[in-house]
Amino acid sequence: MYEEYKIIIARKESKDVHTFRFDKTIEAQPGQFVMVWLPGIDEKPFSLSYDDGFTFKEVGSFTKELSKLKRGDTLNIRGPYGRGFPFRHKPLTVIAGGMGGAPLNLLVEKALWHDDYPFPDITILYGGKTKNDILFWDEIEHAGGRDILRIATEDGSLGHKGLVTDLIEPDKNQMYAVCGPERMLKAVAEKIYSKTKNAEDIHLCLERYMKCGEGICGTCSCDGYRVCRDGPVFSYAELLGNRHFGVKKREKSGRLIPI
Amino acid sequence: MRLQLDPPILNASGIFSYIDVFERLEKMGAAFGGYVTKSIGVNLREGNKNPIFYEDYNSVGLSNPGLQAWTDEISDSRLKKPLIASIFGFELGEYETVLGALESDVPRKFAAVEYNLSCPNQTPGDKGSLAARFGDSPELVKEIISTGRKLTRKPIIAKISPQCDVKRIAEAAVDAGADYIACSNTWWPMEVKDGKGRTVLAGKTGGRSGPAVIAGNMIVVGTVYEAVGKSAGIIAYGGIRSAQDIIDYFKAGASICGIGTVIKDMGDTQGVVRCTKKIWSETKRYLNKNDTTLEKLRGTAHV
Repeated sequence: MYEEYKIIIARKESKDVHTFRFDKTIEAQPGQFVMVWLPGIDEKPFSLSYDDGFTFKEVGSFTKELSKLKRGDTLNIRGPYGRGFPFRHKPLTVIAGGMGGAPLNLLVEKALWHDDYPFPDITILYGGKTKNDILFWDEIEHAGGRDILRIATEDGSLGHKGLVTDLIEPDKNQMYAVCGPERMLKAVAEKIYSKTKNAEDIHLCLERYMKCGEGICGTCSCDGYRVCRDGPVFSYAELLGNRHFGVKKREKSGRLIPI
Repeated sequence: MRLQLDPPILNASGIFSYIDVFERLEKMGAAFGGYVTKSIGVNLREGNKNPIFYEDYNSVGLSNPGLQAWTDEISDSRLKKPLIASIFGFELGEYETVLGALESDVPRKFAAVEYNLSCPNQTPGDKGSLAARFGDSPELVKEIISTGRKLTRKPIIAKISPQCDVKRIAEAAVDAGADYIACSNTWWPMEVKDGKGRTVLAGKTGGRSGPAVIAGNMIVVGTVYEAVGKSAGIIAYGGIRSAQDIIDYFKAGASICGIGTVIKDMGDTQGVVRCTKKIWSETKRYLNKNDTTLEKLRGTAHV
C-alpha cells in the first residue's frame, strides 16, 4: 500500500516551511492529499503542492521530524486520496491564505503549464500576516502578458496592507479556488456569494484531523461530510447551512472543538 | 426486547463513528436501518497514533471524545433511525457510569446499548485490552451485563470476541439479560509488517476485519445460534460485501447484519448510499424470488 519516494529536491521556503519533491510524479488532482508515514513515529496527511511533491510547515513533532529529512532520503506515501478542485471553462481566481497556497500551487501549475487544464485565464490573490507567509508564485508574477498575482499582508510588509478579502472583486462568471484558514475561507466565500449568488463556482479546500484517510473512522467529519472522501474540496453550495464549517472540527480524540 | 430495524442492516461500531455522519447517510437514503456509535467511554482518549489501519487490520485504540462530549453530541441528534450506543470500560464500573449517563441525559435519543467486551487493541498505559480483560471470562461478562440490565429496559447487545469460548460467553451474556449477541469484534490481533519488515500499525498489533474473516465468522454465528439462538438475536459483523453474504449470515443464525471495513471500497458518501442500497435491493430480490423472508431464513443452515 505504501510506495517509496526519493527526495530529489529538499527546499527551505522560509524559516519553518519546507518543500520536498520526488523522483516520480503522483497522479493527482489539485487539492487531493497523500498520507506520509514516518515508521515508528506517526502518519499525517499533506496536500500536494506539485505533481511530485508537497510543502509543509513545522507545527508539531511530526513535521519537525519530517524537516530533518534531506535530499536522497526516501518517504513512504499512500494515496492520493479525496476529491480535488474541478475544472471549468471559466476564468479562474485563486485565493490563498498562508500555507493554503500549497494545494493551490498545484492547481496554478496545472492551469498555467498543462494543456489539458482548460482555464482560459487566471488571477491569484495571496494573503498572509507578513511577507514571510507569502511562499508561492514569486516566479510567476507575469504570465500571458499581464500581472496575475496580487498580494495582501496584514502588516503591509508586502503588497496591499490588509486582508486578502479586500482584493476580491466578485464576478459571477469566475471560478474561485480558495484555501487557507477556515475562517478566511468562510469570509471569502461569503463576500463572493453575497454579490454573485453563485455558490457552485466557489470551491473551498478544508482541513481536518485525519486518521484512516479512507472514509472509515469518521474523525475528519464536517457536519456529515467525511472530508477525506467527500472533500477536502467542497463547493460553497455544499457547505451552505453546514453546522461545522468555519465553526468546529474534531480533534484527535474525536471531540468537537471550536475553530 | 428486540430492535425494529428497516432494513436489518447496521454500520459496525467504529465505522463512520459520529452522529453527524449518520445523519447525512440517513438524509441521503443509505440502506442502514440503524446506526451504531463509536464505543463511548468515560475519559477522553486520543487512541493510537497513525497508522491505525493497514490492509484490513486496525488498531484505533478506543479513541474517545469523553462522556460529556458524547452526551452533548447525542442530545443534538436529529437521527430518525434507531441509534445504538456502543460502550466500553476498563473497569466494570465504567460501563455502569457510561450507561448511567446516557440513561440520565439522553434516554430518548438512543434505542439500544452495545457492550464492547472485546476490543483486541490497546494503547500505552491501558490495563490490557478489553478482549483480554473481559472477553474470555463468563463471570465478568455476566456481572457487567447484569449490572446494565438493572439500568435499562432497552435492548442490550453483547459484542464478543471471536477468540474466546464463544458458546460459554454468549450463554453467560444471555443469562445475565443480553438480548443480542454481536459476532464478532475484529479477529486475531497480529503484528503486521510491510514488505521491508517494518511494523506498520502504531499500536503494533491490530485485529483483522473485512472479507478475510467471513468464513470464520460464519462459524461463530452458527455456534452462537446453536447455543442461544432461541432466546437471543444475533448481529453478524464481519466481511459483508454483498446480498449473498447477508443471506448466508441469516441462514447461519443472524437476525441483523452489520457492514464494516468494506465501506472503504465504496468511495464518497454517495458511493456508500449507492452500494448499501444495491446490497439491500439484491437481498430483497433474492427473498422475493424464493418467496421467503429473512425471518424465515434465519438458522435454516442448521439441520
